[in-house]
Amino acid sequence: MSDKLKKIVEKLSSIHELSGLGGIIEAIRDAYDVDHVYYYAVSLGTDVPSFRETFGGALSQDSGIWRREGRSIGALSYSPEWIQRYFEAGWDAVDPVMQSAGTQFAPVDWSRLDWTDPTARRFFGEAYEHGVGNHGYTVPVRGPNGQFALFAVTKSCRDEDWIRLTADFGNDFMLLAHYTHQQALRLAGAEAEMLARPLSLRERDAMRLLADGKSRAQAADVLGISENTLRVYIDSARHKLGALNIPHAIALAAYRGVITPQ
Amino acid sequence: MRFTLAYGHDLGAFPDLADQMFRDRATQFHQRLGWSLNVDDDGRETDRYDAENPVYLMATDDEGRHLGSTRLMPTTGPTMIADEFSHLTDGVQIESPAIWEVTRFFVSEAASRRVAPGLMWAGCALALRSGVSHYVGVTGAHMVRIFAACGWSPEVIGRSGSAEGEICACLWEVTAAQRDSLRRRAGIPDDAEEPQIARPALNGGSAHIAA
Repeated sequence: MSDKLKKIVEKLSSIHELSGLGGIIEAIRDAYDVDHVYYYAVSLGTDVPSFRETFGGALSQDSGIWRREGRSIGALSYSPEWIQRYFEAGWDAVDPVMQSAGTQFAPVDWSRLDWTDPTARRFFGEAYEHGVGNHGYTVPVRGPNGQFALFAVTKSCRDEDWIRLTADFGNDFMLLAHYTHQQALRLAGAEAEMLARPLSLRERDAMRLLADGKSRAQAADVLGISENTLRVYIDSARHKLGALNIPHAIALAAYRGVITPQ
Repeated sequence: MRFTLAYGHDLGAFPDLADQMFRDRATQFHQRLGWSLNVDDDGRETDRYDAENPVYLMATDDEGRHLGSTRLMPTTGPTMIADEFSHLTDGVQIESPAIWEVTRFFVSEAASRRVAPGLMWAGCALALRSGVSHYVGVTGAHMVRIFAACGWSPEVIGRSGSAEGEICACLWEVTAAQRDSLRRRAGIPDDAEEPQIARPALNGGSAHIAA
């Protein structure tokens, strides 16, 4: 985990309201020196009742968090004018990024998409005018019950600078996409969507040893497995718990009674 | 040697290549290795993971003959190692955004020695571009030696079965140094463009490597 990522994850774990996601998006934008960052959950996998009561079906914004149709939320550094324009013009049905991320699992580098369609080109032109940038990288995130979210960074820069940025920080962007989504689920009160995956005995053993203060080397030794194997087990447990890092995973596992530290 | 990467949804754009791949899979895994697999009347081997829109990575010669291939899936969705082989990993269902699964990796008997490292290079490069840090996969113990001989030695994180029928859960680390060493081993020039996932509507998506 890079130092940049560590700092963002700390900040992410310290927010207690959805409105805090706006600050996270800005922190990511500044840390990675990109023009824009967004997290947009097309579906959190469940209706979030508070959204529906407050906002009906329309696109609306409150404290920097965009909500739409009771299921979608987004924190985007784009201008409010562009966000409104995007949905009012129905660009989501044209946007090649949205179209490809909808069925694919690998992150999408926008320059690799098919922009030959005249409507897509018109869309790109409009996006560019609104300062979106000439380059973008979108990470799709999926979860149970049709959860589907997009995390993206964009920047106006030379091709070679863009290639370097995505090569250096692709792993950070992949993890930030998933961590932001986990935190959004929690803050939206959709946490039940995250508890579907039970931990195996071995994952619980690994978490318990770390909770007891053992180092990774010690824990691996006790379990009779290699450190890399332990790392994979812990990462699997972290993902299933919806945690942002290992201390958070240990805290969640203890809180939920998955492990009982001795 | 040519590499084609395509999502399952897009295989319709490569009907001949896809057909060769599924037939060669039947030959390799059903006939040669004797795995009990579903082979249809046309001699094509497919399983339920083929319906999950995986990425296929396929190598062909200059005449378009299939030389070898593999199938890549995220471990945040259904995988063989979690669904069918978790006894190899102490019951842990491996699940992480930074880990992808590799299945059905093979090269045909007619293929040159550069095909396997070439496939690994293309897979390593794709993972690296996608922010993925590891591949996992279940394979026969004999394949572990073959992977090592090709220059990408996995760590065996779990094993089961007898000496003859032993199967292993493998973990491969994805790094830029690994990608570059596989490229050299496959005899692919430094400045070769990395194969990209096909956009069938645009250009057919395969990258020709002059090697």
